[in-house]
Amino acid sequence: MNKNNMPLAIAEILVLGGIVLAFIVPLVIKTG
Amino acid sequence: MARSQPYQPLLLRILHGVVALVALGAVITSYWVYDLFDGRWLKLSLPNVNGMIGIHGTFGLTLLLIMPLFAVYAFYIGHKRLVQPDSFTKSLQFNKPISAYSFHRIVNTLMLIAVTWALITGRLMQEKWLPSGDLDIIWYSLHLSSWVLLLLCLLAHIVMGLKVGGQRLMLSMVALKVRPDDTPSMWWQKFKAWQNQRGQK
Repeated sequence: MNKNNMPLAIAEILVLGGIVLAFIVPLVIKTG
Repeated sequence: MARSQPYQPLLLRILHGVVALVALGAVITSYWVYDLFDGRWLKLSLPNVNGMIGIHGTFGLTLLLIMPLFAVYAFYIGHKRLVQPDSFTKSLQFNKPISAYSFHRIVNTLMLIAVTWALITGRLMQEKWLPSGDLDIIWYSLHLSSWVLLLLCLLAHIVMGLKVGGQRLMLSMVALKVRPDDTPSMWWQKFKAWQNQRGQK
């Protein structure tokens, strides 16, 4: 985590968190 | 005096190149899928290719598998190319060259977010929806929004890349030249040095 760079830290959470979410989201949300 | 060619680390070139090619494949095939099954806003009547949804899904899944590597590289090793605390204020100083550099870094960061948004919304899609004409499902609308966002970010990424580094920067991202201290055999050594440097901060 880039503690001295808040905009980058937010982007990091969005991207790395988003990628993890992309892996697990079909298991959590059933859209079909 | 001739200006020297900028040098990009080999790992960055490999990861960026693979992600760019796969993402481009996903963007093109996604339009093809849209053209075949939707076409509400624009229709080019592209030829019907069997299994186009599956082809697009394969590009998407490949992107999902390689994106973690690129994201970790971007945020931990290549973070100087991404948004900085002063990027927003400096990008508004239009009369100074720093404006373009700052805007370029913001756009690079937005590009990563746009790809992630496309991956999340793509994972929520079901292959059966479009062939059965279910075009009003929220997840499909969100995935369409990711296509527009990705295309806008890609355009800005290329325009800003050309503005700050011109053709030299573009060519340096696809150059094949490798410095002796940047071969894969040196990466572990460099990684340890980088880790030590981070530990000292």
